[in-house]
Amino acid sequence: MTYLGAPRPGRRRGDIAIAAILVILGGFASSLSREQQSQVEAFVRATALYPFLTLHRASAERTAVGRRLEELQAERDDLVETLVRYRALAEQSADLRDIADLASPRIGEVRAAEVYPGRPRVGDPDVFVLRAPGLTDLIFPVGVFTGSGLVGVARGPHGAGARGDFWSHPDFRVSVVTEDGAVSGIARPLRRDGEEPILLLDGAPFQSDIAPGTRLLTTGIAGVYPPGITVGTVRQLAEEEAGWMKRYYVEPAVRPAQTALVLVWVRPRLDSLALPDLLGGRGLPLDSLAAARPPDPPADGAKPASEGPAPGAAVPDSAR
Amino acid sequence: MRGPGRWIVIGMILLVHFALHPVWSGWPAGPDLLAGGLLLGSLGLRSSRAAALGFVLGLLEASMALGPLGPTMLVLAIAGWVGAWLRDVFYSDSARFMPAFLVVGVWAIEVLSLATVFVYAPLSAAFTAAVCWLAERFVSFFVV
Repeated sequence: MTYLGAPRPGRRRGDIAIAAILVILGGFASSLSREQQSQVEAFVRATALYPFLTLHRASAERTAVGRRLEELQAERDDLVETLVRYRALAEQSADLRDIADLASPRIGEVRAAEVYPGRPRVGDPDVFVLRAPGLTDLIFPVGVFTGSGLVGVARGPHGAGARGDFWSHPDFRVSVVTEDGAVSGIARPLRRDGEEPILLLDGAPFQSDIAPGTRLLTTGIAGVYPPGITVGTVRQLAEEEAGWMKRYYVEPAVRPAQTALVLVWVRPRLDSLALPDLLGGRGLPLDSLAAARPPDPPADGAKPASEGPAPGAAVPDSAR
Repeated sequence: MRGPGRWIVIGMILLVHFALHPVWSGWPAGPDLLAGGLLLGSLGLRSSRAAALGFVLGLLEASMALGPLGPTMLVLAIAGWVGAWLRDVFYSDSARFMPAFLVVGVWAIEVLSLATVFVYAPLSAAFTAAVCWLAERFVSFFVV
Protein backbone atom coordinates (compact mmCIF):
# COMPACT_ATOMS: atom_id res chain seq x y z
CA MET A 1 0.00 0.00 0.00
CA THR A 2 1.27 3.45 -0.77
CA TYR A 3 0.31 6.85 0.45
CA LEU A 4 1.37 10.27 -0.76
CA GLY A 5 3.33 8.53 -3.45
CA ALA A 6 5.74 6.80 -1.13
CA PRO A 7 5.77 3.41 0.55
CA ARG A 8 5.15 3.66 4.25
CA PRO A 9 8.52 3.46 5.90
CA GLY A 10 9.17 1.29 8.85
CA ARG A 11 10.99 2.41 11.97
CA ARG A 12 14.73 1.93 11.97
CA ARG A 13 17.24 2.64 14.61
CA GLY A 14 19.50 3.90 11.85
CA ASP A 15 17.13 6.82 11.25
CA ILE A 16 17.55 8.05 14.81
CA ALA A 17 21.31 7.57 14.64
CA ILE A 18 21.63 9.50 11.38
CA ALA A 19 19.42 12.29 12.72
CA ALA A 20 21.56 12.47 15.85
CA ILE A 21 24.75 12.65 13.76
CA LEU A 22 23.25 15.47 11.70
CA VAL A 23 22.28 17.37 14.85
CA ILE A 24 25.82 16.96 16.19
CA LEU A 25 27.26 18.14 12.88
CA GLY A 26 24.90 21.12 12.94
CA GLY A 27 26.02 21.95 16.46
CA PHE A 28 29.63 21.62 15.35
CA ALA A 29 28.96 23.97 12.42
CA SER A 30 27.44 26.47 14.86
CA SER A 31 30.58 26.41 16.94
CA LEU A 32 32.85 27.27 14.02
CA SER A 33 34.40 30.70 14.09
CA ARG A 34 33.22 33.33 11.63
CA GLU A 35 36.41 32.85 9.60
CA GLN A 36 35.96 29.07 9.41
CA GLN A 37 32.30 29.42 8.44
CA SER A 38 33.39 31.89 5.82
CA GLN A 39 35.77 29.34 4.29
CA VAL A 40 33.03 26.68 4.18
CA GLU A 41 30.63 29.14 2.57
CA ALA A 42 33.28 30.22 0.08
CA PHE A 43 33.84 26.59 -0.92
CA VAL A 44 30.12 25.97 -1.43
CA ARG A 45 29.73 29.22 -3.36
CA ALA A 46 32.65 28.32 -5.62
CA THR A 47 31.30 24.84 -6.38
CA ALA A 48 27.62 23.92 -6.03
CA LEU A 49 26.29 27.48 -6.07
CA TYR A 50 28.61 28.81 -8.76
CA PRO A 51 26.12 28.58 -11.66
CA PHE A 52 23.42 30.31 -9.64
CA LEU A 53 25.73 33.09 -8.49
CA THR A 54 26.91 33.61 -12.06
CA LEU A 55 23.29 33.90 -13.13
CA HIS A 56 22.55 36.41 -10.37
CA ARG A 57 25.56 38.50 -11.32
CA ALA A 58 24.67 38.54 -15.00
CA SER A 59 21.11 39.53 -14.18
CA ALA A 60 22.19 42.25 -11.74
CA GLU A 61 24.69 43.67 -14.22
CA ARG A 62 22.10 43.78 -16.96
CA THR A 63 19.62 45.58 -14.73
CA ALA A 64 22.19 47.94 -13.27
CA VAL A 65 23.67 49.00 -16.59
CA GLY A 66 20.32 50.16 -17.93
CA ARG A 67 19.27 51.85 -14.72
CA ARG A 68 22.51 53.57 -13.88
CA LEU A 69 23.55 54.85 -17.27
CA GLU A 70 22.36 58.40 -16.61
CA GLU A 71 23.73 58.36 -13.06
CA LEU A 72 27.11 57.20 -14.34
CA GLN A 73 27.24 59.98 -16.90
CA ALA A 74 26.42 62.53 -14.19
CA GLU A 75 29.09 61.02 -11.92
CA ARG A 76 31.64 61.18 -14.72
CA ASP A 77 30.86 64.86 -15.35
CA ASP A 78 31.26 65.59 -11.63
CA LEU A 79 34.59 63.78 -11.55
CA VAL A 80 35.89 65.67 -14.57
CA GLU A 81 34.94 68.94 -12.91
CA THR A 82 36.62 67.90 -9.66
CA LEU A 83 39.79 66.81 -11.48
CA VAL A 84 40.03 70.10 -13.34
CA ARG A 85 39.53 72.03 -10.11
CA TYR A 86 42.15 70.11 -8.15
CA ARG A 87 44.77 69.51 -10.82
CA ALA A 88 46.35 72.90 -10.26
CA LEU A 89 46.28 72.30 -6.50
CA ALA A 90 48.00 68.93 -6.86
CA GLU A 91 50.72 70.43 -9.06
CA GLN A 92 51.23 73.23 -6.54
CA SER A 93 51.51 70.71 -3.73
CA ALA A 94 54.07 68.66 -5.68
CA ASP A 95 56.15 71.78 -6.35
CA LEU A 96 56.12 72.75 -2.68
CA ARG A 97 57.14 69.22 -1.68
CA ASP A 98 60.02 69.38 -4.15
CA ILE A 99 61.15 72.70 -2.69
CA ALA A 100 60.94 71.36 0.87
CA ASP A 101 62.54 68.07 -0.22
CA LEU A 102 59.67 66.05 1.20
CA ALA A 103 58.83 62.52 0.11
CA SER A 104 55.64 62.21 -1.90
CA PRO A 105 52.68 61.16 0.23
CA ARG A 106 51.78 57.46 0.15
CA ILE A 107 48.04 57.09 -0.03
CA GLY A 108 47.86 53.52 -1.24
CA GLU A 109 45.91 52.12 -4.16
CA VAL A 110 42.45 50.76 -4.77
CA ARG A 111 41.13 47.57 -6.32
CA ALA A 112 37.73 47.23 -7.92
CA ALA A 113 35.53 44.40 -6.65
CA GLU A 114 32.00 43.07 -7.07
CA VAL A 115 29.76 43.03 -4.01
CA TYR A 116 27.44 40.18 -3.07
CA PRO A 117 25.29 41.25 -0.12
CA GLY A 118 23.74 38.81 2.32
CA ARG A 119 20.08 38.05 1.80
CA PRO A 120 17.44 39.48 4.14
CA ARG A 121 15.57 37.15 6.53
CA VAL A 122 17.58 33.96 6.04
CA GLY A 123 20.97 35.61 5.71
CA ASP A 124 22.50 38.74 7.12
CA PRO A 125 21.88 41.78 4.89
CA ASP A 126 24.53 43.72 6.79
CA VAL A 127 27.39 41.54 5.54
CA PHE A 128 28.82 41.13 2.07
CA VAL A 129 31.24 39.08 0.07
CA LEU A 130 33.67 40.72 -2.34
CA ARG A 131 34.87 39.08 -5.50
CA ALA A 132 37.97 40.27 -7.27
CA PRO A 133 41.44 38.90 -7.92
CA GLY A 134 44.16 39.62 -5.39
CA LEU A 135 42.02 40.46 -2.36
CA THR A 136 43.36 37.72 -0.13
CA ASP A 137 46.76 39.39 0.28
CA LEU A 138 45.27 42.56 1.75
CA ILE A 139 45.89 43.58 5.32
CA PHE A 140 42.50 43.29 7.00
CA PRO A 141 40.42 45.11 8.12
CA VAL A 142 40.37 47.59 5.28
CA GLY A 143 37.89 50.17 4.02
CA VAL A 144 35.50 49.61 1.11
CA PHE A 145 33.96 52.55 -0.70
CA THR A 146 32.54 53.86 -3.97
CA GLY A 147 32.80 57.20 -5.69
CA SER A 148 29.77 58.31 -3.65
CA GLY A 149 31.11 57.37 -0.24
CA LEU A 150 31.96 54.74 2.33
CA VAL A 151 30.34 51.31 1.93
CA GLY A 152 31.83 49.37 4.83
CA VAL A 153 34.83 47.38 5.86
CA ALA A 154 36.38 44.16 4.55
CA ARG A 155 37.07 41.97 7.58
CA GLY A 156 38.95 38.96 6.20
CA PRO A 157 39.48 36.57 3.30
CA HIS A 158 36.58 34.57 1.91
CA GLY A 159 37.84 31.95 -0.50
CA ALA A 160 39.52 33.84 -3.32
CA GLY A 161 37.74 37.07 -2.31
CA ALA A 162 36.95 38.82 0.93
CA ARG A 163 34.08 39.17 3.35
CA GLY A 164 33.05 42.24 5.25
CA ASP A 165 30.39 44.35 6.90
CA PHE A 166 28.35 47.16 5.46
CA TRP A 167 28.21 50.36 7.51
CA SER A 168 24.78 49.16 8.67
CA HIS A 169 26.34 46.26 10.61
CA PRO A 170 26.02 46.71 14.40
CA ASP A 171 29.79 46.29 14.85
CA PHE A 172 30.68 49.03 12.39
CA ARG A 173 32.41 52.18 13.63
CA VAL A 174 34.31 54.86 11.74
CA SER A 175 36.11 57.97 12.87
CA VAL A 176 34.76 61.01 11.03
CA VAL A 177 35.39 64.72 10.76
CA THR A 178 33.34 67.52 9.28
CA GLU A 179 34.40 68.90 5.94
CA ASP A 180 35.93 71.99 7.54
CA GLY A 181 37.80 69.85 10.07
CA ALA A 182 36.17 71.59 13.03
CA VAL A 183 34.28 68.70 14.62
CA SER A 184 35.17 65.04 14.81
CA GLY A 185 33.49 62.00 16.30
CA ILE A 186 32.62 58.39 15.75
CA ALA A 187 29.86 57.35 13.34
CA ARG A 188 27.94 54.15 14.03
CA PRO A 189 24.80 52.58 12.57
CA LEU A 190 21.40 53.25 14.05
CA ARG A 191 18.43 51.05 13.18
CA ARG A 192 15.11 52.29 14.38
CA ASP A 193 12.06 50.04 14.24
CA GLY A 194 10.58 49.76 10.79
CA GLU A 195 12.99 52.25 9.25
CA GLU A 196 16.02 51.94 7.06
CA PRO A 197 19.30 52.13 8.98
CA ILE A 198 21.06 55.46 9.20
CA LEU A 199 24.24 56.61 10.89
CA LEU A 200 24.62 58.31 14.23
CA LEU A 201 27.50 60.69 14.88
CA ASP A 202 28.62 60.05 18.44
CA GLY A 203 30.99 62.04 20.57
CA ALA A 204 30.75 65.46 18.96
CA PRO A 205 31.88 68.10 21.48
CA PHE A 206 29.02 69.73 23.36
CA GLN A 207 30.00 73.25 22.36
CA SER A 208 30.10 72.38 18.66
CA ASP A 209 27.25 72.97 16.27
CA ILE A 210 27.05 71.11 13.00
CA ALA A 211 24.67 72.52 10.43
CA PRO A 212 22.33 70.10 8.65
CA GLY A 213 23.76 69.15 5.28
CA THR A 214 27.38 69.19 6.46
CA ARG A 215 29.41 66.40 4.92
CA LEU A 216 31.27 64.01 7.19
CA LEU A 217 34.53 62.51 5.95
CA THR A 218 36.72 59.70 7.19
CA THR A 219 39.68 60.89 9.24
CA GLY A 220 41.93 57.99 8.27
CA ILE A 221 42.95 57.52 11.90
CA ALA A 222 44.08 53.92 12.60
CA GLY A 223 44.61 53.27 8.92
CA VAL A 224 41.53 51.15 8.26
CA TYR A 225 39.85 53.71 6.02
CA PRO A 226 41.57 56.15 3.69
CA PRO A 227 41.13 59.75 4.78
CA GLY A 228 38.65 62.02 3.04
CA ILE A 229 36.01 59.47 2.01
CA THR A 230 32.46 60.77 2.38
CA VAL A 231 30.54 58.90 5.08
CA GLY A 232 27.32 60.90 4.99
CA THR A 233 25.65 64.24 5.58
CA VAL A 234 24.30 65.49 8.89
CA ARG A 235 20.52 65.43 9.06
CA GLN A 236 19.77 66.96 12.45
CA LEU A 237 20.72 66.99 16.12
CA ALA A 238 19.69 63.75 17.80
CA GLU A 239 20.30 64.51 21.46
CA GLU A 240 22.55 66.24 23.90
CA GLU A 241 24.08 64.06 26.53
CA ALA A 242 24.28 65.70 29.96
CA GLY A 243 26.43 68.58 28.84
CA TRP A 244 29.20 66.31 27.59
CA MET A 245 28.60 65.65 23.97
CA LYS A 246 26.11 65.84 21.16
CA ARG A 247 24.77 63.24 18.80
CA TYR A 248 23.64 63.85 15.26
CA TYR A 249 21.60 61.80 12.82
CA VAL A 250 23.58 61.27 9.63
CA GLU A 251 22.23 60.38 6.23
CA PRO A 252 24.66 57.77 4.81
CA ALA A 253 26.26 58.56 1.48
CA VAL A 254 25.78 55.03 0.17
CA ARG A 255 22.92 52.57 0.67
CA PRO A 256 24.08 48.94 0.83
CA ALA A 257 21.33 47.75 -1.49
CA GLN A 258 22.50 50.10 -4.23
CA THR A 259 26.10 48.95 -4.33
CA ALA A 260 27.27 46.55 -7.00
CA LEU A 261 30.86 47.60 -7.69
CA VAL A 262 33.14 48.97 -4.99
CA LEU A 263 36.72 50.00 -4.46
CA VAL A 264 38.83 48.25 -1.83
CA TRP A 265 41.61 50.30 -0.35
CA VAL A 266 45.09 48.78 -0.56
CA ARG A 267 46.87 50.78 2.07
CA PRO A 268 50.62 51.19 1.84
CA ARG A 269 52.49 48.68 3.92
CA LEU A 270 53.91 49.93 7.18
CA ASP A 271 57.51 49.21 6.21
CA SER A 272 57.15 51.43 3.14
CA LEU A 273 55.64 54.34 5.04
CA ALA A 274 57.79 57.33 5.73
CA LEU A 275 57.79 59.60 8.73
CA PRO A 276 58.23 62.90 6.98
CA ASP A 277 58.56 65.67 9.45
CA LEU A 278 59.14 64.11 12.84
CA LEU A 279 62.54 62.77 11.83
CA GLY A 280 64.06 65.79 10.19
CA GLY A 281 61.76 66.01 7.20
CA ARG A 282 63.71 63.52 5.09
CA GLY A 283 61.28 60.66 4.97
CA LEU A 284 62.93 57.98 7.07
CA PRO A 285 61.49 54.51 6.51
CA LEU A 286 60.04 52.95 9.66
CA ASP A 287 62.19 49.85 9.43
CA SER A 288 65.30 52.01 9.53
CA LEU A 289 64.46 53.26 13.02
CA ALA A 290 66.11 50.25 14.62
CA ALA A 291 69.28 50.85 12.62
CA ALA A 292 69.30 54.54 13.54
CA ARG A 293 68.85 53.85 17.26
CA PRO A 294 72.07 53.29 19.25
CA PRO A 295 72.35 49.69 20.49
CA ASP A 296 71.14 49.00 24.00
CA PRO A 297 73.94 48.33 26.50
CA PRO A 298 74.24 44.68 27.52
CA ALA A 299 72.43 43.97 30.76
CA ASP A 300 73.98 41.83 33.50
CA GLY A 301 76.65 40.43 31.32
CA ALA A 302 74.27 39.21 28.71
CA LYS A 303 75.63 38.96 25.22
CA PRO A 304 74.74 41.83 22.94
CA ALA A 305 72.36 40.78 20.19
CA SER A 306 74.98 41.49 17.56
CA GLU A 307 77.26 38.88 19.09
CA GLY A 308 74.68 36.14 19.18
CA PRO A 309 74.38 33.42 16.60
CA ALA A 310 73.24 34.53 13.21
CA PRO A 311 69.59 33.86 12.37
CA GLY A 312 69.29 30.32 11.20
CA ALA A 313 72.64 29.25 12.62
CA ALA A 314 72.84 26.06 14.64
CA VAL A 315 72.30 26.62 18.35
CA PRO A 316 74.50 24.56 20.66
CA ASP A 317 72.59 21.99 22.67
CA SER A 318 73.71 23.63 25.88
CA ALA A 319 71.96 26.77 24.87
CA ARG A 320 68.63 25.04 24.21
CA MET B 1 1.98 12.79 -7.82
CA ARG B 2 4.16 9.76 -7.28
CA GLY B 3 7.49 8.33 -8.23
CA PRO B 4 9.98 10.17 -10.43
CA GLY B 5 7.48 12.91 -11.28
CA ARG B 6 7.52 14.09 -7.68
CA TRP B 7 11.31 14.37 -7.67
CA ILE B 8 11.33 16.23 -10.99
CA VAL B 9 8.93 18.77 -9.47
CA ILE B 10 10.98 19.06 -6.28
CA GLY B 11 14.19 19.49 -8.30
CA MET B 12 12.61 22.22 -10.39
CA ILE B 13 11.28 24.02 -7.32
CA LEU B 14 14.72 24.02 -5.74
CA LEU B 15 16.38 25.14 -8.97
CA VAL B 16 13.91 28.01 -9.30
CA HIS B 17 14.56 28.95 -5.69
CA PHE B 18 18.32 29.18 -6.06
CA ALA B 19 18.17 30.78 -9.51
CA LEU B 20 15.47 33.38 -8.95
CA HIS B 21 15.23 34.12 -5.23
CA PRO B 22 16.78 37.62 -5.62
CA VAL B 23 13.58 38.58 -7.46
CA TRP B 24 11.40 38.10 -4.41
CA SER B 25 13.84 38.15 -1.53
CA GLY B 26 12.99 41.80 -0.88
CA TRP B 27 9.23 41.21 -0.81
CA PRO B 28 7.67 41.22 2.65
CA ALA B 29 5.96 37.88 1.90
CA GLY B 30 7.82 36.16 -0.91
CA PRO B 31 7.52 32.42 -1.53
CA ASP B 32 9.93 30.19 0.36
CA LEU B 33 10.45 27.57 -2.31
CA LEU B 34 13.33 26.01 -0.41
CA ALA B 35 11.07 25.12 2.50
CA GLY B 36 8.38 23.98 0.08
CA GLY B 37 10.80 21.72 -1.80
CA LEU B 38 12.16 20.28 1.44
CA LEU B 39 8.71 19.52 2.84
CA LEU B 40 7.57 17.94 -0.42
CA GLY B 41 10.73 15.87 -0.43
CA SER B 42 10.25 14.84 3.18
CA LEU B 43 6.87 13.34 2.27
CA GLY B 44 8.61 10.79 0.07
CA LEU B 45 11.66 9.99 2.17
CA ARG B 46 12.58 8.16 5.34
CA SER B 47 13.04 10.55 8.24
CA SER B 48 16.84 10.21 8.27
CA ARG B 49 17.12 10.93 4.55
CA ALA B 50 14.71 13.84 4.86
CA ALA B 51 16.90 15.23 7.65
CA ALA B 52 19.98 14.78 5.45
CA LEU B 53 18.23 16.58 2.60
CA GLY B 54 17.39 19.44 4.96
CA PHE B 55 20.97 19.50 6.22
CA VAL B 56 22.41 19.83 2.70
CA LEU B 57 19.82 22.42 1.69
CA GLY B 58 20.64 24.36 4.85
CA LEU B 59 24.32 24.39 3.90
CA LEU B 60 23.49 25.69 0.42
CA GLU B 61 21.02 28.26 1.72
CA ALA B 62 23.33 29.63 4.39
CA SER B 63 26.20 29.86 1.90
CA MET B 64 24.02 31.63 -0.63
CA ALA B 65 22.44 34.05 1.84
CA LEU B 66 25.60 34.54 3.99
CA GLY B 67 23.52 33.51 6.98
CA PRO B 68 24.44 31.58 10.11
CA LEU B 69 25.67 28.18 8.93
CA GLY B 70 24.91 25.91 11.86
CA PRO B 71 21.45 27.19 12.81
CA THR B 72 20.23 27.13 9.21
CA MET B 73 21.44 23.55 8.70
CA LEU B 74 19.94 22.48 12.01
CA VAL B 75 16.57 24.12 11.40
CA LEU B 76 16.17 22.60 7.95
CA ALA B 77 17.43 19.17 9.07
CA ILE B 78 14.92 19.17 11.91
CA ALA B 79 12.19 20.38 9.53
CA GLY B 80 12.93 17.50 7.14
CA TRP B 81 12.95 14.96 9.93
CA VAL B 82 9.74 16.26 11.49
CA GLY B 83 8.08 16.44 8.05
CA ALA B 84 8.79 12.77 7.37
CA TRP B 85 7.72 11.83 10.90
CA LEU B 86 4.42 13.72 10.58
CA ARG B 87 3.63 11.86 7.38
CA ASP B 88 3.70 8.68 9.45
CA VAL B 89 1.49 10.26 12.07
CA PHE B 90 -1.19 11.54 9.74
CA TYR B 91 -0.95 8.83 7.12
CA SER B 92 -3.27 10.69 4.82
CA ASP B 93 -3.92 10.32 1.12
CA SER B 94 -6.27 13.27 1.19
CA ALA B 95 -5.71 15.80 -1.57
CA ARG B 96 -6.08 18.55 1.01
CA PHE B 97 -3.36 17.20 3.24
CA MET B 98 -0.42 18.40 1.17
CA PRO B 99 -1.38 22.11 0.92
CA ALA B 100 -2.23 22.23 4.61
CA PHE B 101 1.02 20.42 5.42
CA LEU B 102 3.01 22.92 3.34
CA VAL B 103 1.33 25.98 4.84
CA VAL B 104 1.88 24.85 8.42
CA GLY B 105 5.35 23.48 7.67
CA VAL B 106 6.69 26.58 5.92
CA TRP B 107 5.25 28.79 8.63
CA ALA B 108 6.88 26.63 11.31
CA ILE B 109 10.25 26.78 9.51
CA GLU B 110 10.02 30.58 9.29
CA VAL B 111 9.28 30.77 13.02
CA LEU B 112 12.15 28.41 13.83
CA SER B 113 14.54 30.37 11.60
CA LEU B 114 13.68 33.63 13.30
CA ALA B 115 13.81 32.24 16.82
CA THR B 116 16.57 29.66 16.90
CA VAL B 117 16.10 29.52 20.65
CA PHE B 118 13.31 27.07 19.82
CA VAL B 119 15.96 24.86 18.22
CA TYR B 120 18.75 25.22 20.72
CA ALA B 121 16.62 25.12 23.87
CA PRO B 122 15.10 21.67 23.14
CA LEU B 123 18.49 20.37 21.98
CA SER B 124 20.11 21.68 25.11
CA ALA B 125 17.34 20.12 27.21
CA ALA B 126 17.71 16.76 25.42
CA PHE B 127 21.48 16.86 25.78
CA THR B 128 21.21 17.67 29.48
CA ALA B 129 18.70 14.87 30.02
CA ALA B 130 20.95 12.40 28.16
CA VAL B 131 24.01 13.35 30.20
CA CYS B 132 22.13 13.17 33.52
CA TRP B 133 20.50 9.87 32.59
CA LEU B 134 23.83 8.36 31.55
CA ALA B 135 25.47 9.60 34.75
CA GLU B 136 22.68 8.12 36.84
CA ARG B 137 22.90 4.78 35.01
CA PHE B 138 26.69 4.75 35.28
CA VAL B 139 26.66 5.36 39.02
CA SER B 140 23.86 2.89 39.70
CA PHE B 141 25.73 0.23 37.70
CA PHE B 142 28.64 0.39 40.14
CA VAL B 143 26.82 1.19 43.34
CA VAL B 144 23.93 -1.23 43.17
